[in-house]
Amino acid sequence: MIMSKEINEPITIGLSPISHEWLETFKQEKIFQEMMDGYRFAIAYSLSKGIEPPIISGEKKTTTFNIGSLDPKKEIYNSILALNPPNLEAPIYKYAERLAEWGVTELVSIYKKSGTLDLSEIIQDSNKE
Amino acid sequence: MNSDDLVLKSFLATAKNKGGNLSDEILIEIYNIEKKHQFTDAENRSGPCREIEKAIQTYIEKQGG
Amino acid sequence: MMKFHHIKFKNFMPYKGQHEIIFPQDSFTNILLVHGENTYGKTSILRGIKWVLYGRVLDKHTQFTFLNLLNRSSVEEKDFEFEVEIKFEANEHIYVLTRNVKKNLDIGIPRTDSDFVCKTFFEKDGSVLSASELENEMNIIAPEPVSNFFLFDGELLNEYDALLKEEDDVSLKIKESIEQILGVPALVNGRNDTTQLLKEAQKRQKHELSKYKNIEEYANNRDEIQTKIDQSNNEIENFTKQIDVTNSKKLEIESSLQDIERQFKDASDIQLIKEKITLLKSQIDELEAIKLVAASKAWKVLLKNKLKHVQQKSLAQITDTINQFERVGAVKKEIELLNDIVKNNLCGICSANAPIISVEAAKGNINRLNEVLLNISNDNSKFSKITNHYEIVNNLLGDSEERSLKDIDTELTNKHVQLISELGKEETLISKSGIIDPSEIKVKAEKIGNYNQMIQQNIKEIAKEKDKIESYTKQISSITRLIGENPGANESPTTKYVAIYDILNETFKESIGRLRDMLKEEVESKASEAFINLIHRKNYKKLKINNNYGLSIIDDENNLVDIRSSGASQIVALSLIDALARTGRPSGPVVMDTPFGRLDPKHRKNILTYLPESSSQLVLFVHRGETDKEIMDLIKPRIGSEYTIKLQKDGKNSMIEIGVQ
Repeated sequence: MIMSKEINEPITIGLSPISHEWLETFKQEKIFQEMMDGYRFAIAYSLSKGIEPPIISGEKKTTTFNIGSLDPKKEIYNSILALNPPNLEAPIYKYAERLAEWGVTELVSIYKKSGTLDLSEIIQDSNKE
Repeated sequence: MNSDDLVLKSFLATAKNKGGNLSDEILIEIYNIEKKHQFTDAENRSGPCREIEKAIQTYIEKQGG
Repeated sequence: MMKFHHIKFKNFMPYKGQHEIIFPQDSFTNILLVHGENTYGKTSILRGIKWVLYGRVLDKHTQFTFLNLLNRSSVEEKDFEFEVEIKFEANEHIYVLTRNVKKNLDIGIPRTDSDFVCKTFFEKDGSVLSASELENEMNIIAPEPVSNFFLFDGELLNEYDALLKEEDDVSLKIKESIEQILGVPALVNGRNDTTQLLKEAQKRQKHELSKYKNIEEYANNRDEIQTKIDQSNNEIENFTKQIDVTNSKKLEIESSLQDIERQFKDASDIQLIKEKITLLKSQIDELEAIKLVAASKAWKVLLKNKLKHVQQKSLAQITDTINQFERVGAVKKEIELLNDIVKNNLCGICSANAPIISVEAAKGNINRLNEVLLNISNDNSKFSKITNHYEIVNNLLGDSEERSLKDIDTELTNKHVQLISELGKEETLISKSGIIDPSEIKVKAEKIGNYNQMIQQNIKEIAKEKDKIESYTKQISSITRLIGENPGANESPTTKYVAIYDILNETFKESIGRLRDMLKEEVESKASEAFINLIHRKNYKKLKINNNYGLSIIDDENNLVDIRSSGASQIVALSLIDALARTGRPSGPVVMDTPFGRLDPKHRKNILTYLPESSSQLVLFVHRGETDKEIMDLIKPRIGSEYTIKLQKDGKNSMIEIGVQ
């Protein structure tokens, strides 16, 4: 089941080169099994903060994920719609890309401070807010 | 009776048994020398030996010999 | 009779500063109780008494150094002086003995005994005596070997059980100690001293009587035999040295066999630890995999709270919309009813005629209600959207992870800690262990067997030489008599010396055996007397003594009691100790540390009834578990004084306070 606003949605979604490298690092350090898991978490992190993610400048993306693989049940899509005002403009996955980029940046900042990414601690802190 | 008495008793009884004619006095004197030095080790026995020698000498002199 | 008057400590073991105990002097109220919890310093008082009386104190077989005896806080404060003073009476004399230890002036921080100076001050009835006089006095009043039997550490009760084993090394050493107490050394030394004196006198005699030819022949003969005796003595010395050397080698191998046993155990432990490590690693791998799966779903957990909030809002909207629909239904029904009134002039519910006023009112209400209807939202598609939205959010929330990341992390941490611990243990054991060669055990065990054989052979050879010496000695005695009977010799003064030393020598020799028999009888009788007073079993008749002063229990059918409880063994040990203390010296104080061991209340009662009678003073060091009400009531009338050992405010050092705290 999906919410509306499906028109003109992209079929792939990506990351800037730097963010790609960081997701690769997180995978190598076995924080996430796949880069897609990190991507989803970054989107969710941004959503949990309730921010308006900055628009991504025209950087060439290195990695793209197929939307069908990234979000087979449209859960990311629906979460974005559920947690944003109804006037959120489509395409939603473009918005998701901005959320992911901002999310990865923030996660990298946490990683640099503590040397690791403690997901349970991030979840706990988020629940306190 | 504690062991001091027993030791002396044993010593005097044996001396009598041997039929020697040493007086109880000299026997007790020699016994007391040995008792005093009973924990002196083997390397330092010249002290008690000289004491016994002196006691015997006095005893013989008293006997007129 | 010996009695303690007071003891004073300064910076001794846990007692920082000055502390004193005054002993009761009355012969009835002669019990001194010292209370104190374990580790507070009760045993240190016992050690203080031993050290001041004998200048040394042993822990098992190791002597305490001055640094061991000096209070630790004093060391930290660089105060390197300690002292113990004891005042006691014995044989109607008053003695004060003080030992003071200070560091050497030209030493900065003392590290060994040689960095200290120990001074001893000894007074008898106010007059100062020398160190050698001190030794002589103590040998008469309370020889050091006896001290184990009146300055008594209850922990050692078990060692006396070893006395039952006849040829055990330990039991032979204990036997030696006991015989030292009982005065046997006086006779043994007497024999040895007079043997030496006799030899010297015989030399002088030979020299003096050399002018008498036949006497010279006797004297030469005697000399030859004396040479043989000397040779036999040398052989005995050699065999004894060989036994010592063989014993050392045997001990070395026994110790190495113990090491091998330990290695076997270590190898088995290492194997178990390796298995644990493998299991832990596998569990960690499993948990890491579970964690990665949980991480892939973590993004949903992160949004959970926000989505719940949205879900609640959706639900509220749905409720509102449903309420609206209900309201629309109600309004429509009302309009319907009003239309009936207007059309048919009838009440739609009860079918009665409606009055004219009602019709007009109804028309007005219809208009009003139509307006209300217009304002109420009845948008089915909007409701459909809301419910759709709610369902989607519900689905998003429905799929939560089975196990929280936090729990998995906690379990992982625990497993890692366990793994580190096991790896540490493995490393320690591996560094201790070596390669075990089972054939080595066989070789070593055989060697021990050989050494035992050699020792037994040496013992037999020693016995043979001793027999020879006895026979030679008899021959010498006969020759001496012959010389003495000779007219020429009669007038010689050396002959008298020879005759006297000969008699003395024989007397000392024979009285040793006689004394041993007498002492054994005496100890057996006194120990049995103590035993009957202490034991609770009425069918135990007496104790029987063996050659090593070990005691067996005999029942009233004159049978040996084979197996006995640890409690009974301790009573037997106490009986022996009491008998030795009473046989080895005149009556004196008994100081007992943890006196009750594993004894039950009945036996404790018996001990506390008996001991105050058999000693001049009874000093008991007890902790709370040993002084129940019944015991206290029993001994209360005989308590002369009580002290309590407590910790000082610093929590490190102890102090002695009068009374019960």
